[in-house]
Amino acid sequence: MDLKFRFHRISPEVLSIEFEKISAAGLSNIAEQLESRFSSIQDVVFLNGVITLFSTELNLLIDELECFFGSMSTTFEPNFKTWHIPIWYNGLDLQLIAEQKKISIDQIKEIHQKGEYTTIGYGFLPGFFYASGVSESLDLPRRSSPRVRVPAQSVAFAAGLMAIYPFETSGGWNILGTTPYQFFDPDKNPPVIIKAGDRLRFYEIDESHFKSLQLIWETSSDREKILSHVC
Amino acid sequence: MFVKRAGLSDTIQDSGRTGFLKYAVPRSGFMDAQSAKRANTILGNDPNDAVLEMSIQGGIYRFDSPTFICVSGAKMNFTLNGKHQESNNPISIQPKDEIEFSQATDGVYTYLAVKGGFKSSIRMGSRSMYPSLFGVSRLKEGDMIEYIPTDPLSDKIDGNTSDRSRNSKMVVYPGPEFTYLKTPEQLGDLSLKVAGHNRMGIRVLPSTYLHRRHSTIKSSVVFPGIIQLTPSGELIILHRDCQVTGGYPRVLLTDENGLNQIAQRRQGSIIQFELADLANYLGE
Repeated sequence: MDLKFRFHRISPEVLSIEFEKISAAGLSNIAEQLESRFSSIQDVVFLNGVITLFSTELNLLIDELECFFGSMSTTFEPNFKTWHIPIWYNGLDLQLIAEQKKISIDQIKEIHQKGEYTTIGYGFLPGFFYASGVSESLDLPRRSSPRVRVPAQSVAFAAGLMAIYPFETSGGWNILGTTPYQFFDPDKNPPVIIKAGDRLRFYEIDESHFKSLQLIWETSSDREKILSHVC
Repeated sequence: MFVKRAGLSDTIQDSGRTGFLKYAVPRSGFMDAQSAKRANTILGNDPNDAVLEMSIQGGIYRFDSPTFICVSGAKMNFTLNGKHQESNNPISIQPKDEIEFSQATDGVYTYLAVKGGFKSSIRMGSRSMYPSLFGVSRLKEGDMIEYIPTDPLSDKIDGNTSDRSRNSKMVVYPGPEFTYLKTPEQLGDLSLKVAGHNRMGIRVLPSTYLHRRHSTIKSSVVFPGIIQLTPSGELIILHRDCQVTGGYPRVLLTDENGLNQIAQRRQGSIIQFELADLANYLGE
């Protein structure tokens, strides 16, 4: 299949490249290739089939990109990982979700854990990722009025997307529970483990397990290992 | 430098961070880069060196080693040990000197640069304070900001006091969703009232309704300079700490000059746009 795309220059330093029919992992893979190949790219943002490049030498970069895309192989082997995320179902919105969807809290947990979620990119806040794949039997729109305080590490969903709040903030998503893992670390480079295209699975833990996993996470030197299996 | 009394919203800013937008970390940096860079340049610093950014109301700061400082940006009266000082001018500082700022009489952001720049902590390649990276959103009383002492006698510094008009029209260009605007040819006649102001963006209320149609868009990339049209009819001029994606139509766009200019326009003030040619701006 041919990789179809269109260039949109938005400003003298910002170029969006819109791809037709591309997976989140494919998009992330191209973005990564572009960034490592062209040193004149200062920043890259990708979401919803669009890669946006920031460069102070955009004219030169566009010429190089045309050449690059002309010769690029059109098949991608998106390499993604699957991460296992513990969740303590203590969410503020569990009861409300149960009432609105006319299901029990146990069913909510079951549907949530059955799902596999695909990370599509970061936005909103540092380290806040969007993941698709929320089951229709669980899905709800954003709350009509956002909560002033959503606790850090809240696992929440809205409008078909799953996310984890990296910090305490205001927010309007429906909160299922809390994960003991902090997924954004500004002192590390890269500051995140989860990449666009990666798959997420959730498993239930209780309060005491939450505390022990929190301690393990904070003191671990290999967080990827912890995240790659059910603890 | 010791913060004896913090201002309303003091932060340390440099020219910001690059390379982390992909994790939704904004670039941040000086709100009015022109003024901050002027203060640095007057001291012979790198224009991108870290400065203290004060907003509307400055504080009281004590210096514990010799240096030079320079104040630029929004007009804010200030004293050195009780004696009135001029901005855009290098000021020699001795140990135990105290600088006290009052309220800004015009504009929003005032900058205090120190010789060699502030050496505060660096997060993700920049000293620019951003809440979720630094754990705090502003400086507070008792904070200590490092700088490298300079012997006042050994440095000769040239002053430079150029200024510019902030009240001219703000140049804007068509944004990706320009067609969402009704009667764009009349943009230049609009008066726009500044309704809200922070480091993420500046909200302005147009004097007439601008929608051609009601709509949000698929979440798309945004950056400082993008102007969004909200469902309620407000325009948001996104600024240095803005998010990386947004769902409102990106109807217009301004440039670096426009960003510096709007940074200094206070809540309640009236601005005007001047629509310019995008192809020209893009250098096509």
